[in-house]
Amino acid sequence: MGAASVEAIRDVSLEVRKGEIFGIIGHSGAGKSTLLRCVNLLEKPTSGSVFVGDVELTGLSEGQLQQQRRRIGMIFQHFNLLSMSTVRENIAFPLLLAKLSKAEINKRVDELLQLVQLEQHADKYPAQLSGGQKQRVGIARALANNPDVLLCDEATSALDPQTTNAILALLLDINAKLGITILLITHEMNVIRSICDRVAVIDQGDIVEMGDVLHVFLNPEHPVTRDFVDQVSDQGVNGQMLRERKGRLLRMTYIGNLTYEPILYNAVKPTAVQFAILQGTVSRMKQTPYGQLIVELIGDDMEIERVISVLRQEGLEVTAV
Amino acid sequence: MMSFEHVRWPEIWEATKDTLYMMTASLIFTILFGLILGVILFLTSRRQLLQQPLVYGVLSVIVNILRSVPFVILMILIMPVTKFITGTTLGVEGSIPPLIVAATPFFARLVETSLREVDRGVIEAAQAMGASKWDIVRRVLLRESRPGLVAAITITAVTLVSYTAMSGVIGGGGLGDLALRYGYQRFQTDVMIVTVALLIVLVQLLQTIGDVLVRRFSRK
Repeated sequence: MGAASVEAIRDVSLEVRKGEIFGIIGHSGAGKSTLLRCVNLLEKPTSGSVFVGDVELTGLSEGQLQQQRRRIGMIFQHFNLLSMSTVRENIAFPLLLAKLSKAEINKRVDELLQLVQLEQHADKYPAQLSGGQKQRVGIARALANNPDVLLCDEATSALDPQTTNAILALLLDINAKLGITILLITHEMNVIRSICDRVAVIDQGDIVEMGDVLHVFLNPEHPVTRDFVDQVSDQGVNGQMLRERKGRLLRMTYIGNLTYEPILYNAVKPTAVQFAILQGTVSRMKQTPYGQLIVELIGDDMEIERVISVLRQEGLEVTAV
Repeated sequence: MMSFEHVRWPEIWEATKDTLYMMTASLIFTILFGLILGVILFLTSRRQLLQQPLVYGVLSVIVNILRSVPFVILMILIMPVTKFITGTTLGVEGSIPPLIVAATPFFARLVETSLREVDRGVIEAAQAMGASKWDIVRRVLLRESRPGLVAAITITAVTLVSYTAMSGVIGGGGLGDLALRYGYQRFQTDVMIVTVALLIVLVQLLQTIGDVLVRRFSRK
């Protein structure tokens, strides 16, 4: 487009599986927005190809691309609704483009209004709605043509935490009910933790880490990933304080139902080993409960080793800090 | 005490009707041509849907030239064109082509500015939904900029009223013509006052209607 081209992303290879919720996280300016816009070619990559399903979008004519874009819904940080149109007209817009009949449009809009619970607001204008309601209109509009993929461009970044959670719950619900593949970008780890199956961490135009959210979250390797993980973990004790401890410092990670078991207590009970929990997070990632603790074990070396092996037998991941 | 001895009301009424006719007819054509020109200017400008620096540059220069020629001189300059289109350079018919030529570039610029006010995000959203360029012009740009366009039409209408008055200089007709022939050349101040008062009322009326419409269309 412009005279000078800027290299916003390079050598990025990303495969999103059908039906999953895939999150891309990065700081602002990392290139995540550009990457997302490459999927529906709002941003045309200078090289490389984009496939959605079996269709290579990068090889299409303008008209064909317009057809294919109807299979890809998109929602935005600032909602991007038509300010001069009512909620109903906004949701009808993509249906109008798809040249549906008036009766079909009305029927579909009613369904969508119900899906996003905006029936009472159908005849209002965007300026009369709250942020959360505007994003619901955005979601209804994006889903109007039953797309296979939904792209979310910082969809909750302009919303307060409560509204964010409600919108995330709606996205999760839509993913489960309609089987729609969701690709989202965000700078909030909370969004990734709440709804994503897999995550890619992007920094300066490169994907630096990618994998199952649980795995990346519990074993962050890249410094940028650690930054993001720190956003949502409780940092009770800093590194300096940890180094000053005399006992054995261990990081214990447990996933799933283990979270609710008194494993640590059971492991130390037959021994004289004492423990102190210095730092910990017990939370839930999408549907999976998990916990990660930094624990100091104090006592006889042999006994500590025994405790560790019991913990590992129970299924905990135990590593030295 | 002022007397209105020279004022012949039937003639005033005829002149008022002529002014309204010139204004309305030229406004309709100005809206038509100016809207097209304004949309083209907008679309071909930098970072827009049809970015075409050369087309934009050429159109922009033409618009600027037409806008920098004073209306009185423009009327005289394009007389041959006027004669070709309407068969005369005089009277009501003879004033309409110069009015359109003068007002179209002015209105087109106002249209271009209004379109620039449309949120880029909304255009992007429409593209993401598979809208063609024509869809975007028709269903997004023209719709989203409606309050701005109504305001632009109001300003243009008011400008056209003052231009119609000027066209009296070359025998245009209407209230301006009356003011010139009687008020100025024959020193009939009363006629001058009546015509000016009528022009003021007309402009007030147009602006009020425009403002009401803008308010009705605004959703922000």
